[in-house]
Amino acid sequence: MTDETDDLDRHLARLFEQGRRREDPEDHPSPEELSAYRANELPSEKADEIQEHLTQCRVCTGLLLDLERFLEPGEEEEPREGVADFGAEAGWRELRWGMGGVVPDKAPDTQPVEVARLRRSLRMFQSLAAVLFVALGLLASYVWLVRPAGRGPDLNAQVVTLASLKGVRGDGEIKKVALKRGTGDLTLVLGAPESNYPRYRLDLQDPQGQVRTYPGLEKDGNDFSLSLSREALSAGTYQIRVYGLEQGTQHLVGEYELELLRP
Amino acid sequence: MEDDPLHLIERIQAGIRMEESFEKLYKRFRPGVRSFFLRKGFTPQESDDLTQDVFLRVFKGIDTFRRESRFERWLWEITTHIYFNEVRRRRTEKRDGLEQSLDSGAETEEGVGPGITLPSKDPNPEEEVVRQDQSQALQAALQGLPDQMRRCCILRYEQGLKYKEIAAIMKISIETVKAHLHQARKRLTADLGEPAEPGPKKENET
Repeated sequence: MTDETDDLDRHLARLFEQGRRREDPEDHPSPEELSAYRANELPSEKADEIQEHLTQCRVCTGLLLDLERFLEPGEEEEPREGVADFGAEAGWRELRWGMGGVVPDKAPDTQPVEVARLRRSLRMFQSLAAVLFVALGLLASYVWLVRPAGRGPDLNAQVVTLASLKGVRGDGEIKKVALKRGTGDLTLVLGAPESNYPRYRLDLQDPQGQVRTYPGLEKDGNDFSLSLSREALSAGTYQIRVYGLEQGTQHLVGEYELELLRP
Repeated sequence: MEDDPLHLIERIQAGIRMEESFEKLYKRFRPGVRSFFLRKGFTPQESDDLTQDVFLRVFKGIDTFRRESRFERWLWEITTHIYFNEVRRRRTEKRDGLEQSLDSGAETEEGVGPGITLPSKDPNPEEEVVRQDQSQALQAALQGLPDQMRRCCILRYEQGLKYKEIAAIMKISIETVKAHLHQARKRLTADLGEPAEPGPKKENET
């Protein structure tokens, strides 16, 4: 910007300074109206009205700029990694007290969080042992009993889909891993929590971070079954989420983590 | 992905690991909320207290949050409500009290502080007449500008906003802001006259 422009700016600022109103308007748009204005959700007439108000009101201008900061925070407004924030720790302890103490997960038992975690770990270990036992049993059955006559053993099936459980979250459990006869597909059977949605959807995130969606999942008793083509699978950790779908909204009903040892 | 706000809220609303998820949410957004109150002129202790109020309200209302929009927007709306409530409460106390603070807070960088602004008194009648004449001429010149140009001028010269801030308020590009102000300078100086003498040089904030 040139010196001449600077001079003009200072001159105009002085003129405005002499003529400006000293008080902001009494009435202000609500925070919801201001954020809707920013998000272009208002009819054009209302948006114009709010824009005019902003030129007269430093309070609302300041608030809208604060909204920009919330949406695009600068460094000073982000927690610093690796730096202990004692204020935040103290604040969190106080907030927990204000929320009524420990906030338990919505699980049938109401024991403290630490005991509930131990119990879930034990269940997880038991589930893992059960899954491995069933998987080995099915594998043996497939190899010795189900193998079609006249065909050689499906070598792939012998090495595929040994699955282990890690960090089961949510109320459900992976009950078993089954091999479909002849196709080598992996059938995933998830034990679903008690829920009663009209439809369900499963999101599967592979180790590369890609998410595949399986809509139209149906409960079979208390389980969800899903066939996954072996060709689409690789070794690694998969994140599985099951959603209940109802009237255009989705509700998380279970979250799991599955590790495939070999494709 | 695990610490994405919407994912944390999804867990909280589903009742899965609520405490852990809410703690992550709190620690991530607490600095921004606290900075909001500090910018408005509250003391660090007051800002801490108001920040706690915000997150208590977030916790109580978490089931009403619809995940179609950003959590940051909803958090800002709650924070602003808490701010307005506190300002109204203080004004009520001051109105009912014996003293009124002259600390307007209008000198803060953004917005008005928790105090009250009083108009200043100009003791010189001649200067007041001149000022009123200039003010009327300015208002007439401004009314002659297109709406967007006029608003950019007021935000720049009256509120002292930077180009980037004007662009955010007006929802236009910085280039458009500069173009409006460039045209406005020409038209206003044509109507009101050039400055009498150059002022002292200082750095221009864009």
